[in-house]
Amino acid sequence: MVKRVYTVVVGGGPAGLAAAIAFYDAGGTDVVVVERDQHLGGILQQCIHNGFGLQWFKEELTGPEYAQRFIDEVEKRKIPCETGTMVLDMREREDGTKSVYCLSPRYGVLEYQCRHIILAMGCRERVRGNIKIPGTRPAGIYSAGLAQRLVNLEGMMPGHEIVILGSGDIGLIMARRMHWEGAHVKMVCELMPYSSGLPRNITQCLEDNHIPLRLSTTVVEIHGKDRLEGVTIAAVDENKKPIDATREYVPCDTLLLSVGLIPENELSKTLCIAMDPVTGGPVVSEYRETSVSGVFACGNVLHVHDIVDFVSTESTIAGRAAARGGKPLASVPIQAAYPVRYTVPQRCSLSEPFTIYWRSAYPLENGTVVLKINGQTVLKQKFLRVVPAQMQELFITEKHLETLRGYELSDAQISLEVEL
Amino acid sequence: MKYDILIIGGGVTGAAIARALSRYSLSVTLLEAREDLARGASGANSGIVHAGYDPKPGSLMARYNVKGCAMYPALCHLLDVPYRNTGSLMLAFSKEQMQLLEKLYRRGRQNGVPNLEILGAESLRRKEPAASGEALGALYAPTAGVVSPYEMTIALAENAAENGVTVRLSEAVTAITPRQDGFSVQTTKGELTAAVLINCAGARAGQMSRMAGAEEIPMQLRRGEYTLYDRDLGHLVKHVIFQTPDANGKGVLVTPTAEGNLLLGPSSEVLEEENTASTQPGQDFIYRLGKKSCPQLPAGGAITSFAGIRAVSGSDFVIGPSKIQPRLIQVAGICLPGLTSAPAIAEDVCDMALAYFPQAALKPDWKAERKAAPCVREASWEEREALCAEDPDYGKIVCRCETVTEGQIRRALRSPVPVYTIDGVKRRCRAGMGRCQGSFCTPRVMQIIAEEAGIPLEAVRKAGPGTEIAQGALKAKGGTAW
Repeated sequence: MVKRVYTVVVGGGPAGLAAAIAFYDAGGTDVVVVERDQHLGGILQQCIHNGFGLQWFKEELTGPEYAQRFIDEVEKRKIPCETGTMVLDMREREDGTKSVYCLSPRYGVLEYQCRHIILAMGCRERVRGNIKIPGTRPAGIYSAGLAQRLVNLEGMMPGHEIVILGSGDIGLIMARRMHWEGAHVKMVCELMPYSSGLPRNITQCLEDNHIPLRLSTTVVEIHGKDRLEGVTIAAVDENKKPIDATREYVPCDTLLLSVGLIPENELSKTLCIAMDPVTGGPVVSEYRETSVSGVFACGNVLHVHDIVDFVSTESTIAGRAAARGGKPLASVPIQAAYPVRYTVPQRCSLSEPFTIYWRSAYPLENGTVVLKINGQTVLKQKFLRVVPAQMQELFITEKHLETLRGYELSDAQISLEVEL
Repeated sequence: MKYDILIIGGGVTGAAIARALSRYSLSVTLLEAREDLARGASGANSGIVHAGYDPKPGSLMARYNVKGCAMYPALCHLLDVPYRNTGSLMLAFSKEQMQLLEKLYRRGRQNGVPNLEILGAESLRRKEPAASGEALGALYAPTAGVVSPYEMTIALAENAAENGVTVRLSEAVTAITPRQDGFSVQTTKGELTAAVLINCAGARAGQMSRMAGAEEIPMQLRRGEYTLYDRDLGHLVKHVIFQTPDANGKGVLVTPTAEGNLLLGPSSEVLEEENTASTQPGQDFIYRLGKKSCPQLPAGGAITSFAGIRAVSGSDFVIGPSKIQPRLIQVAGICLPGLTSAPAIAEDVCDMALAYFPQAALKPDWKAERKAAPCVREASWEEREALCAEDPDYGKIVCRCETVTEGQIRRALRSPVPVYTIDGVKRRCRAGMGRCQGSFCTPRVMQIIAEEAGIPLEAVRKAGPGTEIAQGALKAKGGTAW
């Protein structure tokens, strides 16, 4: 079946829903949200803990509550959503129109012919194979997200004696969740000398429950034939190489892996969109438009966010921009100078005020973040402490734009640097 | 139960023999100790269909390898198994290795391997741009290819089952008593008798032979480790790329798999007992050597690593009736090139067994073909449309990484040899085989298995007993609060 629409939003999680609402509210009509799951809400469906919405709604919500508010708004606007439908391929024609090919039990093969696409497919977790932990391959090794789904949606216990590798937020949340369900969470190991989770989660999930956090420690071997019987952990040196003398056997029946998230861009690649190797997501302008005109990206498919409120903000930008349509503006790249690990957007057109989001490569203290154009400082902002887990914001106002516009765009070099 | 023939072992050789015997009016049973087929060497190997220049001329290995290689394309077509005739390249990095290639070229000619060719550096680069610039040349074998070894095993067994062979899983042999007219076999589930026993027990073939009162088969176990890469990297190389064996070992291979991933391995390590754990030194070793053949091999991109056990008995296969117990046919030490040889071995072993059944006739209704569940990922849009029209379950994607639908999973669970486990589903239709390794689809696959098998969700296993995914329900579940 072929349907014609103006905009297709790929993904009905927090990013896709916010983008569709913003698109509609900015006067856009004829948008459809395509969601592979049976239900809208994406990963928030299984995030039953609270702490969502403090920025966006100024109140504390659970994941499903946060998602439901957006689902309600979508329904209020009668924005069509095709659930149980998965996009398998996308094509761009010479005239700039696009086709989005989906598979669904209801329609079979469904092709949307459209002008704009908003990519909001989210991310996936890194797995054991990605980090190559040697050993046997027993049952009892789960990504933290899979364990979360088993507990929160299916009502099942993944195991009882638990070791968690990786102190990302999902790992921390799951440590507390398993503890509350009566499991013995023996420890959370973290390869880095600092946690990659939010400080509030370290306190509330680990410290409050007396769960030890072992920094600069990793799992070096997995034991057990049928079910996991234990893991060998070891401290790592400054090059993250395990130190043999520190090897320690920890009996456990469950290993949860929270070792990073990867934006899920296999579909984006079908459109040959330029990617940022650091974020794992597309390169975008301040309007979240990718290198392919009319294709926007927002949420975790663009870069991994620490809180969903930022996803909503970002997706609103993408939705509005898609509604405005028109030709993309000429843009200049923003160079992230180490220890600035990346910026989003990676390009900007300097047409109106916008925010640069950035992350550091490692924890920084008492420094200044500096925006420069051709070596000249445009904007300086002091900070006390910046950690990789927390995304930073830098507001580019009309005043800064004036300075920036004084340069010829074609040979301007904008960079974001840190002075310590 | 009384059978004409009992095959012990559900690896690729056992399954191929079962299929060969299924043509005849005989009662045949295949016993497998594990919960699924291809759980030993057949499930964890390189998946290469070797051309056959490596084995010593005159050996069983040489004969079966060359014959088996020639059988593969048609057989895989009949059985609907992924097979790609990629051709292989054996790289030489020194003058000595170039000389060895000459020797292998001559040996290949002697073994009857068709169309072998020695390539110079430049032709090698044209044929395989990803091969190392350090390579001086290569031995090109156009008949080599890649196959999914576990899918091959499953397809052979399913076809055998469709043609009347009984396939019994999770049933291990515990004792064998020779009788006048055959054997009485004690298993973990009961007792059965058979006029002829075929020993395809892989790593446990020596043990079976001993139990049956036949000769000792000296066995050595070798572990080979592998790394499997994302299908993003499946196009890095176009051919199976070997290294020329030298005093340091046989080298490792880099190859596209039949299903589009990139595979690196194996290491080779002698073990005292079966152990399929991967190791840090093993993984480092294969990466280092793989990088030598293919410098573009990236540090990232691996999705899983695994190890397989090969049972080696001396320098050749052990195939034929036991000298002490002639009604026991030994098919042991089927190490490399066992996968390639299996279909050819099966034909000969079938003839050996038939010697005891002069009355056996060809079945008029024997089906040579077997259809796999449709592969939605590989299907065209028109085919997908037709599949969905036939059954909307083919429109429900369960495994997003490998584009596997609910229809495929249900079909696999209703096959002639159904295996109600997460790994069983994974081997049959690739749900969970992709880059997220089942992180997203496991709960849904569990639900489908529970429905099809009529078991509670908590009872769904990854593989054999003791591998349940969930360890019971939440304590609060069933209480009032929930």
